[in-house]
Parts: sequence; structure tokens; C-alpha cells
Amino acid sequence: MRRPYATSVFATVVENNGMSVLTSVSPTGFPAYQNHTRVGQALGNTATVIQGAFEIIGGLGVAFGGGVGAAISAPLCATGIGCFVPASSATISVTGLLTAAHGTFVIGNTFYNVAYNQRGSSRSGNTNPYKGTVDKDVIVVDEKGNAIPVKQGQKLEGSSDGKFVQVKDSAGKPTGDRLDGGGHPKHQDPLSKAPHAHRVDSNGKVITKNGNPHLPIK
Amino acid sequence: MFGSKYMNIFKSEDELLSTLESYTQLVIDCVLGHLSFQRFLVQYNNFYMAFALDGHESDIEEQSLLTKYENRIALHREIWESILSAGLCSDEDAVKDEYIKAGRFGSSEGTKRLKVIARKYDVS
Repeated sequence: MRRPYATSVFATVVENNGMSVLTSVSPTGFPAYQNHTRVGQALGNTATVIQGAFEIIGGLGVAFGGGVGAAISAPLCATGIGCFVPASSATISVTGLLTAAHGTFVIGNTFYNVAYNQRGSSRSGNTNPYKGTVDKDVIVVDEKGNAIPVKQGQKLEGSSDGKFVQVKDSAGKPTGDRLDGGGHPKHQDPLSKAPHAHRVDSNGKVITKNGNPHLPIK
Repeated sequence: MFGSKYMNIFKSEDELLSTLESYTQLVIDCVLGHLSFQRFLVQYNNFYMAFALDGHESDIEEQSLLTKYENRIALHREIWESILSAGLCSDEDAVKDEYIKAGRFGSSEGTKRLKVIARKYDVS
């Protein structure tokens, strides 16, 4: 389930600061990567890039003799999310470097998360035809090895025992591709009585084998 | 008119009607509590699909017959579409988070839906 934008923004900032473990297991219910809203994630990513930039600029300034205020003014330090703030003038050079290093890490981690962790189902689209229409072509294979191609914009509906499966278009209309794994016991044609499948070609015409539309399955 | 020869699935109009009647009775029995949902599933056995009531296995004559009684068949199509192929799963699985999140449901929800459909088609 998607979470509110504000939750997604905050959780994305937390994750980009290297605390993704907390967001994935937190009892407070912070969402995992794949549960964020796109807008929330984008805002969170933007915030952490800005945070990182401030920390680098400010941290280097502190480390090399100036710009103490820049580090302290890094906008997300106030949130307490892993921002290093100089503790005293005696350690100002080290903490400046640490702040800059943290800023570098945050920016790098942000881009890493964008590239690898934020590509969950909410971003790449649905590939499970049992959840609804798929956003790209997929092939579903049942436990016996029968493959059912499902094209973009189509979905699957079937019995819980997997015997009967239909491919449907976005309007819920059967396309003609179907698995009749239970067969039709009352049918005259032995090939129809037995477990079989039906396929249609790209023009919606039923594909036959030796003139019979009942295609063998495993 | 119908039943002049053996059609693909039903031998005659009478056989279609008696078949529909017997499977509709299963629905009534389940809705009234005379038949458990699990027993209903076993005996009902994906009726709409097993008998290819959408007509995809039928010749022209049988398709005409199915069209003639489409109002009676609609009950069974809806049971297929709204219950049997809509995410029904075992009661054991139905309480698991992953199944709940995926919209799966067990016999309790299945029975509720069956009652709603039965009322809609006035068969209970």
C-alpha cells in the first residue's frame, strides 16, 4: 500500500542517510522502498542531495578554516538525521572533514538508491497479471510448465486450483488465450474433454493444430 | 428447434435447463447453509468454465441456445468472475498478510459474495 507523501519524503531522507534498515523494520510503519510514492521519493531525493551539498561545502569550509555557519545551517541537520555538527573548536577540522564525508556519502547513497533500490513495483509498473493489467509483456508458467503469454495491457484470471485460466484485456474481455486445464467433460470432442489450451494469433484468430483449436498441454 | 441433434456439450435444450437447475440448486443450498462452502466448491467444480457456458466450445446451434438462456447463465458467470477467479484461496492462506495484501480471500468472504450474487439474481 502506498503511504502519504510526507511519510515517503521523510522515509526517503532517512534511507538516503543510510538508515534504510530502520525504515524497513520500524514498528512505526515507515514504508520500505517499494511502498513510497513517486512524488515523495523525488522530494526526499532532492532534499538529501541538497543536504549532502550543504554538508560538503560547509564541511570543507570548516575543515579548511571558514564557513562554520554553513555546516550548521545544513537544512536537515535540524532533523537529527545523521548530520554531523562540530562539537567544539578543538575538533573543528576533523568534524568538518567528517561532515563533508557524510555529505558525499548521502549524495552517493541517494543516487545508489535511485538506481537500485527505488525500482520496485511502484516504479517499474505491474508485472503480475493476477494483480491487474501488466505494463509490459510477461509469460506466466504454471507448475506443469505450461506457458501463458500475457501482453502489455492484459491480465489473467483463473480458478484457485489453476485449472482454468483466462487472459483478459483491460476491459475484462477474454482475449481467447486460455488454459482449460480441467477440460470440458461433457464435450463430444475427446480433445475438448481432455485438458487443453486455446491460443489466438495477433489478429485474434484462433490457432489450430491439425484443424483442431484444442491445443495440447502438459 | 433445439435438440434436433447432439450439440457439442448438451444433448438437448432440456439437458441444458436441467443442468442449470441442478447447479443453481447448489448455489441455493450453500446460501441457505445446507451445504458448506467447501462442499459447494467441490460439487460446483468451476461450472461455468467446465461446461464452457461462454460458448467458445459450442457450435452455432448450441451458441444460440446459450444466448437464449443467458440470463440464467449470467448467475454462474458472475460466480466465476467475482468469486472463483477473483482471488479465492484456502482459509489457511486467507489469513496470511501476503495473501490479504494481494486481495485474496477465503470461504467467509466467498460465502458473502455468493449470497450477494444469489440475491441479485433472485435465486435464494
